[in-house]
Amino acid sequence: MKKIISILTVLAIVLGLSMTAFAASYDRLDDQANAMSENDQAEAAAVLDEVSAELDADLVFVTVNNSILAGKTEEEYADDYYDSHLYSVDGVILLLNVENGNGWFSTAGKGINAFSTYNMQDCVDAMSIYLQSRDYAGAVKAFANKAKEYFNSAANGEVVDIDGNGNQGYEEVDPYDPYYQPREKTPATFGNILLTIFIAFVIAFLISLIITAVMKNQMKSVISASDADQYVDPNQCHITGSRDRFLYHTVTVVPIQRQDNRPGPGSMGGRPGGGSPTHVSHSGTTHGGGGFKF
Amino acid sequence: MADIQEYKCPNCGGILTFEPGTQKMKCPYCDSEIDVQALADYDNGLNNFSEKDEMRWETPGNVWHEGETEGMRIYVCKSCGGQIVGDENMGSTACPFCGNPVVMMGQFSGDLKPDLVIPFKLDKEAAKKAYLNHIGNRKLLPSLFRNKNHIDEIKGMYVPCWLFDTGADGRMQFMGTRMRVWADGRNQYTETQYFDVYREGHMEFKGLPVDGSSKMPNNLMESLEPYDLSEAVDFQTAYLSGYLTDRYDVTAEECIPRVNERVKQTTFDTIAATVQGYQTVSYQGGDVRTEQGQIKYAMYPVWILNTTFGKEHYLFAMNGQTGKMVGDLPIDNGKVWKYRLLWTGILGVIFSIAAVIFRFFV
Repeated sequence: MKKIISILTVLAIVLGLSMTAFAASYDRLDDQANAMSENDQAEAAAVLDEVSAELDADLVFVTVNNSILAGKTEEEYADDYYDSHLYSVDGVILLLNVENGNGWFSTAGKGINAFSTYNMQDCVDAMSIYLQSRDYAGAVKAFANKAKEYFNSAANGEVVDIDGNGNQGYEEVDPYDPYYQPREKTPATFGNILLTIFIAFVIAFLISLIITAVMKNQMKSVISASDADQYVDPNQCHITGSRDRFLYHTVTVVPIQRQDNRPGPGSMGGRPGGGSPTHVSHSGTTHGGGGFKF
Repeated sequence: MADIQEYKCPNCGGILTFEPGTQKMKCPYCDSEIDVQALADYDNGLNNFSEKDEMRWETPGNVWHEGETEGMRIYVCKSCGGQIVGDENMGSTACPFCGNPVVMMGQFSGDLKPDLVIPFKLDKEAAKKAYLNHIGNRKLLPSLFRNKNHIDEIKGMYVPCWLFDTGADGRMQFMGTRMRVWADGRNQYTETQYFDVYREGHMEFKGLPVDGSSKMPNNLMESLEPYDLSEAVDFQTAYLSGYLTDRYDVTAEECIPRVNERVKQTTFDTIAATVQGYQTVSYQGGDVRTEQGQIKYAMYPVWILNTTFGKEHYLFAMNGQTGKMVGDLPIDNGKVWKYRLLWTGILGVIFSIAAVIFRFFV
């Protein structure tokens, strides 16, 4: 009897150990909420690693639930997770709270520019089909693919973002080259043409008045003399007294107008060229990002 | 209770008070501070200018000698009242001012004798040429006027002029300003400094002419200026023969206001030009005083032509010494409208075409 119990115990321990051996851990994927199968995790982690290497940034995926959050917001948790795991300066962490459907992107370094407000929305759209069916691996792959797109376009200086009016899809253009609208033509009605001709003749008449006034003026040559300049004896002119004396002064003070820094087109929160509003996390790193529901 | 002298602030007009702390005058309304002595001088200057400029003149006096005026007669135009002096042999002649015939009145006598005369340097041919040149190709001249040329009626006439020599002393006071602008990070500062500027100057004038004939318009005579006095000679009756002489009927005294005007203007202009180094200069007050002035009586040569057109007389005059020709030309109003119509038409068509093209089709 004792022998059976000890064998079973050993088996259990071995099984348990092997089970933990199967619970592989990944650099960039942490399914804390156990929302994914082992296969899915492996797949997703491989994609994340591959793309991260390609982009020279860290793309990270984490699942949590409310108890894991332990009172923190998704934002705080994501920021802290990224910071504490010593990821690269540039990167994005996608955090999903599978319990209440809150999602959060936390971005750092180049990730802030790449994952602009519009792009985050775009990414959520790309992932939504997978999120709805709880296919998190699919969502991660979509995330990675989109990340590639965003990082590359950010490197080229063009990032799609939302302009000040909340219009999506506004291409980043030079703020000094406003969108050209061709001028509306005035309709060539009979009335319009007549009016134009009438005004032209009125102006012509006014000019003719000026011309004849000049001609009339040229007919005059008799004018009274205004002074006696020609009768001055130049040897006898001199100043006999002068005084230049300071009396008083006035000083006016005008405050200088400050130029407000205006946000360029295509950015929310004053960052031309993509990005999202940034904040500083507990560890002192600047993070961008935004939340969504799924 | 004795009168208390109040000083007004030159910046805003408020009453100034003396500040024992700074020993300066201060304005409680605009905070301006002024040195006491500077203020007193500024104020005194302004109060001292007299409203009436003082101008005193000698009157001329030269008398004819025995027999000098024997051949001279006075002719009168019954139509316009003009009086001219001419040879007893002049016969019938037309009035140079209105074209009507003049009538001999009697022996010329009793007037002052001129001191100087500028003899005619240009003859009648030159005068006629100058006249034709003057009317030239003027488009607005009535063609009737041009055709009805009686330029042969142009007459040489000596015009009596009073010549004034004088010294003048002018005093003027100005307010001059200088400005300085600077800025620090927050504000832009503009400092304006106000200066009391005073100038006194002396000038001499020689030979300023005013014509002594009421028939000869002053502005016409002034437009003929300048005459070169260096070519003037002592008067001899002989110079007058062959020419008409306009008789003076305006005394030198009556001409004085005109002289004063011109002397004052030049004096002020010359003195004001010495105020330099300020951004703005504004005139506060001043006056001019003349010394005893000498007045001479001179005869100036003029070729004169009178033309009647419509109901108006047109007087043309040429400086008999320099050849300068002046005279307002009559304007044919019909021609004025013709030109207005012409230009309106031409420009109107051009503008219409351009406007229609650009407004509707480009």
